[in-house]
Amino acid sequence: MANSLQDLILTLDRYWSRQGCVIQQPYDLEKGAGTFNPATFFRVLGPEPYNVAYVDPCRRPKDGRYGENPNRMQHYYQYQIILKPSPENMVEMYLESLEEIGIRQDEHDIRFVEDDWESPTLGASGLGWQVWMDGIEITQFTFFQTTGGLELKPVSGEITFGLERIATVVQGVNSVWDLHYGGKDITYRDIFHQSEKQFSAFNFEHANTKMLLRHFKDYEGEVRRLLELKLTAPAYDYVIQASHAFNLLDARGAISVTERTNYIARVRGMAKAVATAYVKEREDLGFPLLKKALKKEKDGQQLAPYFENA
Amino acid sequence: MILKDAILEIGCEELPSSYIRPAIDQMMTAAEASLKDHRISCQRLYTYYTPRRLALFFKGLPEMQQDTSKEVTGPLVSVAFDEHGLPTRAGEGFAKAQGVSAASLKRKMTPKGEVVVALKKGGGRLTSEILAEVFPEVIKEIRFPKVQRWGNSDFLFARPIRWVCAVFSRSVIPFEIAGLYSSRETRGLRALKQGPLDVVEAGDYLEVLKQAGVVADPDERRQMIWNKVQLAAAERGTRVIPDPELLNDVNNLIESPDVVMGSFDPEYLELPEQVIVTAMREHQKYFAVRDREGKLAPYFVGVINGTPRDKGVVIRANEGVLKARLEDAKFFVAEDMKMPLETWAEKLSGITWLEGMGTIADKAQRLEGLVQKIGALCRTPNEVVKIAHKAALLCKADLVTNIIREKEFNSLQGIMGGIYAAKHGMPEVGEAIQYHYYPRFAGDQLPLTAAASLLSMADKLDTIVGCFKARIIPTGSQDPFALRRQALGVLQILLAHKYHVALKDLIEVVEKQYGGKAKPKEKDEILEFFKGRLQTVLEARGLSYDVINAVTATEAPTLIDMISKAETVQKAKMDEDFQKLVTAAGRVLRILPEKKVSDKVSKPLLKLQEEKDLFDKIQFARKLVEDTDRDSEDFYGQMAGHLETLVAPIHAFFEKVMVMDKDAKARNNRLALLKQAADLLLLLCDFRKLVYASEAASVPSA
Repeated sequence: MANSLQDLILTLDRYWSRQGCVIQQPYDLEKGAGTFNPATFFRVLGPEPYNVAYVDPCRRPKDGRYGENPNRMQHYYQYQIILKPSPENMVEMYLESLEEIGIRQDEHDIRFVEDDWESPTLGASGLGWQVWMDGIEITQFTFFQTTGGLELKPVSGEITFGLERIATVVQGVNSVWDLHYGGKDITYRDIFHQSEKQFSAFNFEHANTKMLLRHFKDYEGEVRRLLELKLTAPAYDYVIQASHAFNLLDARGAISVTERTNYIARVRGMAKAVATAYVKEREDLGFPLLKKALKKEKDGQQLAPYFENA
Repeated sequence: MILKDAILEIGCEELPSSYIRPAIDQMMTAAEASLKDHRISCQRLYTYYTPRRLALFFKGLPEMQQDTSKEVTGPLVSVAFDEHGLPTRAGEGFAKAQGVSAASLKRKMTPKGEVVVALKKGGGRLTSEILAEVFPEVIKEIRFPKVQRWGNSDFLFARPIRWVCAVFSRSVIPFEIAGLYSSRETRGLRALKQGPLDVVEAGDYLEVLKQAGVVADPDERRQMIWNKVQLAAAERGTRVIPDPELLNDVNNLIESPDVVMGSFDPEYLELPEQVIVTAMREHQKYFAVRDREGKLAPYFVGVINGTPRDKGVVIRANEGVLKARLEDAKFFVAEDMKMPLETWAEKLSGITWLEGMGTIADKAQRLEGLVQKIGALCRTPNEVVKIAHKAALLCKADLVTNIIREKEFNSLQGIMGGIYAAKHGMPEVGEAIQYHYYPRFAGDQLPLTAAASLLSMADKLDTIVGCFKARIIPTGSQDPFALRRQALGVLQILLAHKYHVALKDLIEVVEKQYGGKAKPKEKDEILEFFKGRLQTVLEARGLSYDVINAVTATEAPTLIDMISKAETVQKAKMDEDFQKLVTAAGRVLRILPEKKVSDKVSKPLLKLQEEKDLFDKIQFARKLVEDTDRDSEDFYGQMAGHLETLVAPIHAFFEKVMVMDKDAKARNNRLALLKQAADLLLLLCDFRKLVYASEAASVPSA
């Protein structure tokens, strides 16, 4: 049973590792959600199977509350799982993972409430649920239908939750700042409170809007240039950065309502171009992971280890 | 005959609650139609559902479908058989094509002569065989607002299908769908982790699920929830605020009903009641309760899926969530109250209303002008216009307040504006703000006050005209701004207040308020659009379709006039004298050509006594109509009476006068005379469109 936040992460890593997931590490750029991580954005595209779980830091400049709100921060951690194709028992696997961290089905009211998810900047959408535990939203569960404007086949199942939110539930505390993180009584406050205050001030008051506007334009140009050079991965880095620049500008109130739609459309345009290029690139490589999976299947091995636990 | 039962259950991951009812209704309709097509009678069809299953239970099915025999007519006997009575090639061919032997062909006399007839026996197939065809079709035909794919499959459904249980009596009905094979397996409540359960006999279905914690019968489940909710409330000496919509909603969210009762800090009761109820209802789906005095009590009843080991854990967590939401609401309301509504209204200039049609601030400004002009047209008292004018500027201000910008409180728009206005010392303006959105849906109440009615009409007309200008015009099922409902709302308000205003005057006022030149076509389009709504208003008043067609084909100065006309005609329709008028008017109207005819009659050209007489009678009747008191309740009834004076002269005219004279001058003069009569008759209605019993079967052309 997990107790500290870091134990929680370790428990989840171990569980999803047993289900046959690759446990990746965070990606080193500022992202608004774990979906931006290339381990999701790229891997859900095309026909290649992929099962992955990872922790990812998320930055949502507008959500900063100067460290004063008990559960809203501009920086937090998501735990993200992608199962591609989405297996038949994915919901059961998810519920089992909750039990691993101490959320038992016979002790709580766990509900799957309709929620259609969309990321307008990534050109991604899916159908699924918010999962509620005793009236608290604890997870976003989505069957990806499109990403980068491309229809996905097979469909990936995505499970995303805020680690801090789950941890407060598991530890029974009211504020994320009181969470036991790990070590010797080190709390979430000890680690993050100071920077949360500073970043809130930065996001709302001091971020250099002129510079960011310029950067946004530059990043956009860079995506185009890099795509021409067939450098898809670096091009995508600049999509991520353009998106973050936009989020900062939005938090600074530097973007009007009409401009907002326009900026989002521009990021989406970049994401679409990169997605299309990526699929082409993998196709040229002969979809290596698909080949590997098919070969394994032919050799009499199971396609995906997650069936072992089913 | 021994009758048996069948069950079809689609097992899914949790379906969106709003999708469930429409889906089950479609399944039922499709199954009924399909069984009928296959000549299988079913004593009764039951529908069961939960978020994880859609099920049809067929009570009392025969084991075989009904036989049929059908007669198929073939060639003449002389062609089918030769002189020896032996079948010819044609005869053999026909029999073979019908799947019968030539020897079994019967004979039958027809007007064409004696022909051969094949008696085709059909059917006799096993019900189980047919169900295996019907079931997958029923599933495939369900349409959802949104669908998804999952895994490697291309099948589309609202959420992934995980099992299909199909049993007829004691046997599985085998078929394949969405990459699954049907079986006798179903699943119980997730939390019980029982794994697949067998439905041995179709009739056991409900019982099998009940053992597994699931109440699949929605009516039973709803009643259980409601009983438990009421009981929980009563334990604290409170009463639940009835909310059938919420009850249906939670009924579609769970399969094993239980409730928890929690409380919140009474300090939050200082918040407006609607805010608290909304905070509980919209997101958390809690029922609110009142104490004995009828005041909102600091408790809530939540409906949960299954019974947890310790309800205390679940209650505390739910209380925590509600506290956070109420705390948010309190913060929003406090922030919103720091500024007067006027200041919020200024911020509307940053919000686009319609693409290319300006901001909401522009709209509010137009509304300020409109309530005055519409008020003048409706002869609304000055003090009412004054309130509406103040409210016009402020009615959209709450859209930018903190609370309305939160999704869960969005449904309080208008209400919050009203509350804030009242708190700032403008209760009447507040009422106008709150009710200017009314009527919000079909059957909703109308705005309560005159000022709210005025503002409501102005707002709706402004939206309709604006959308037409932006070319957002409703077509078929596409009506994103609910213009049809809004137009209907305007008509209902006009009617309720008996405002004698012409629609075209109203539209003109709104067009002017937009400034710039209005395209004349646009105004016609809008008027035409309103005509469609007029139909709805008239139908709602119990007027028959032919009367509606007859009156709406003609002009009426105002909506009140149109209704009055229609009611007059409907009432008079069966009178003997009126029926004579209908016949006479029909003669006049039918003979006039479609193209424009002059109504200039040259008196010297009138030769025959009957045409002279008709001319005089027309002038006299017109005079009578003109002299009738327009404000009289029975204006159109009196008009009908005056028109009846034309019956005899019209008939006499047609007896004696040849309209289509060879002489063009005489002919045109007679047509002009009839045109005068027609113009007068059409003041009431287009008599040609009235349908009487004998001809009721024939559908009117218009």
